[in-house]
Amino acid sequence: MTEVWGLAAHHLLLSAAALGLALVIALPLGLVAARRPRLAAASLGVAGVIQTIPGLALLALFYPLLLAIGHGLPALGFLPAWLALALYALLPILRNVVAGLRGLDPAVIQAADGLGMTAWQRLRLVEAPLAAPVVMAGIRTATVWTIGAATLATTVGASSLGNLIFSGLQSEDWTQVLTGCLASALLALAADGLLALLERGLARRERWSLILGGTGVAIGLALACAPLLGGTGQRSIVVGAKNFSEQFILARLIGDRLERAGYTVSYRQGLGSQVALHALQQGDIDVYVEYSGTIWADAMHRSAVAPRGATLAGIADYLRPSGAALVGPLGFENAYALAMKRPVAAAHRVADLQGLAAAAPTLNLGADLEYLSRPEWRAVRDGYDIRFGSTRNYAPTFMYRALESGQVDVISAFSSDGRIAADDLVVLGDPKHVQPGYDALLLASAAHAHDRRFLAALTPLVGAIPVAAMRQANYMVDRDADKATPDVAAQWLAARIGRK
Amino acid sequence: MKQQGPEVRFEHVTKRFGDAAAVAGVDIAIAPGSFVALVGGSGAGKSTLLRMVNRLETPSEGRVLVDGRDVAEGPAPSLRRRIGYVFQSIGLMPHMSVAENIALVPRIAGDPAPDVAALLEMVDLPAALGRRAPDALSGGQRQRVGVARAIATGARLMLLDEPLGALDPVTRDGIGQRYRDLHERLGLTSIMVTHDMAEALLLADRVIVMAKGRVVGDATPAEMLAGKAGPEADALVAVPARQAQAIAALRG
Repeated sequence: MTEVWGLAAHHLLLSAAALGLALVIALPLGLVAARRPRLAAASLGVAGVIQTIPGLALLALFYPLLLAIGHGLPALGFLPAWLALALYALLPILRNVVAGLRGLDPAVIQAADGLGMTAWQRLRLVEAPLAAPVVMAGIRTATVWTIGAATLATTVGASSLGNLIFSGLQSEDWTQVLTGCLASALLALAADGLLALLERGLARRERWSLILGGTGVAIGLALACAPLLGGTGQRSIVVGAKNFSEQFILARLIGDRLERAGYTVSYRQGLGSQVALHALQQGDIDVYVEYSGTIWADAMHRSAVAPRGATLAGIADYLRPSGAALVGPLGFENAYALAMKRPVAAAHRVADLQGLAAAAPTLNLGADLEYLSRPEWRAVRDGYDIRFGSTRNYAPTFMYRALESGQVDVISAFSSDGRIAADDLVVLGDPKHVQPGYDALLLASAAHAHDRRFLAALTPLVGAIPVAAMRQANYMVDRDADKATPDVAAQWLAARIGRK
Repeated sequence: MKQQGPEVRFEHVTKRFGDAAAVAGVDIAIAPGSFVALVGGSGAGKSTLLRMVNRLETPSEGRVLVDGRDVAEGPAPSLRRRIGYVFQSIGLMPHMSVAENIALVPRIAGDPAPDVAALLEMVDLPAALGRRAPDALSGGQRQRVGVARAIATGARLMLLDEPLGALDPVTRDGIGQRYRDLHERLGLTSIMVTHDMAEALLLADRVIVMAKGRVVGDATPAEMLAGKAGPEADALVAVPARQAQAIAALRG
């Protein structure tokens, strides 16, 4: 539960910073635009278009954008989330500034000019106080949106209450999902309530409303800043994780060992597959587990499958220019594989991919969100000439549900997934060897590639995790009943492989 | 206290909006301490002419002089603070009390606060009204506050743009007379725009009739009534004169 407080503070800090930036842009822009109809139409149009971009996509777009800008700007974490959320908050503020100023009684403006106010006096004494309630209503809308959308910041590696939602969704820990949702909703309601008090104070010129609302907002911001004050000191090690249970477990396993070696550790979880490797090369994260085939096919764009040794050597060479390093393989593979329920496979006489090709037109494929756009799928599809009756995308958890209920007949599974053994699924073999290997590899960023203490803490994991142990640990987190948290599973795994 | 308000001169003043001339070559000299009414139908250019005195409009040609100084010199805000401005929609600040409204110009000019109670008394309002919000006042009370706000500046030149236009006849008469008294007592120069000839005749020392941006009649009320101010003025004077006769006839 203490985790919730920390995440809520990060969530609030991120939202407040984004709103602050949005205000810095929207207030002056709105002020100028209120008197220039064409500028108002243009700026409101742009802000409106930004608003139509789904929040998740907007956040994701900032990653390649910041990478392209380069100059050592961190492309992951706070910066992209801050910028994307600020853009998102722009429209309601801008719209209400323009509306608030345009809605002023022309007689009042005529009087302000006729009495001899300077432009600044008119703004300060007349326009600002009279438009304030309308502007405040826009800020309230922006605040509620931003606090809601900040849950998505998790996907670009910024801590927020979304951490609970995304990892809970992954591990089907509904309590965790609900905790994240409720906490962010409560935060939004509290912020909205305080701002409503300020709005009321401005509209009715009630001093106590202003004092109460202002004090509330100040206390909230102070609490949000608390984690900043505590955490100053040496830079902590950032352990990255992609968006599935195995990654969460391994991240904790790695993190626990580093903590015991005396490092301060923080986590960036839920990273997209492409994002994670870039983040390591950029130094945004310091360590994570990647799979050899993913690097080989996605990052190095190799289509030909090479023997294991050559693949690992090639990857080490590929990482060298960025300073990042391959610490070593963990000992198990997590390959993309197609899997079916045993009775269904038997009914269609499917034993391997060769057999699947004949039956595929009458079968439905359920794939995780990225499989169909990945080279592994293209290799399998073209290598065996497989054409499915239909294909659908699912979040991994729901993909297994769809297979169980018969909505789909074949799924894109991972070979280390605990549910393969638990659900008695058949993993279809690859007799033509069209897919590369997927050794789990421990990777370190340039900052720690030659850090002895760091390497001493992590090398005991190299070659130490058999696939059966990993499957069991995964299953502890993924199973429907009696779920373990990734933390608990990581501790279990450490004990199981004798690296406690 | 019997110091007089400034002289105002319009020299060949023209104001064009696009191709249309709202004011076309006006030359007028307004003597210190006089009360001048600018009369005419809508679109005659009288409001535009008035607004060129405090630079709410700038002349396309010619210039406006107050006590011999071109109003275009120096910054507009400091000019406007030296000229009282009262207009039909009043424009009291809704977020300020009546007292704050009256003290507004000294406040923005950085001058000491005026005696609000005395100013309220000058326009026949109780001092207690100062604490109220403008919304709580009647239309007539609001315009009285508008006059008090203009006088609070210490200005000796008053521009009144249809100040009584939105008020009922009884209130108009009361405020009109009251203002005329203040004009005398404070030694102001007053220029009042109105479309009501009767009001002009009753309040002003001099009535200037405008049509299509030009001055078409310029005389004292007595001369106007005697038909010495030209056909446009006669047409405007004819209406209240006939009404007065009709009312007198009704009395028997």
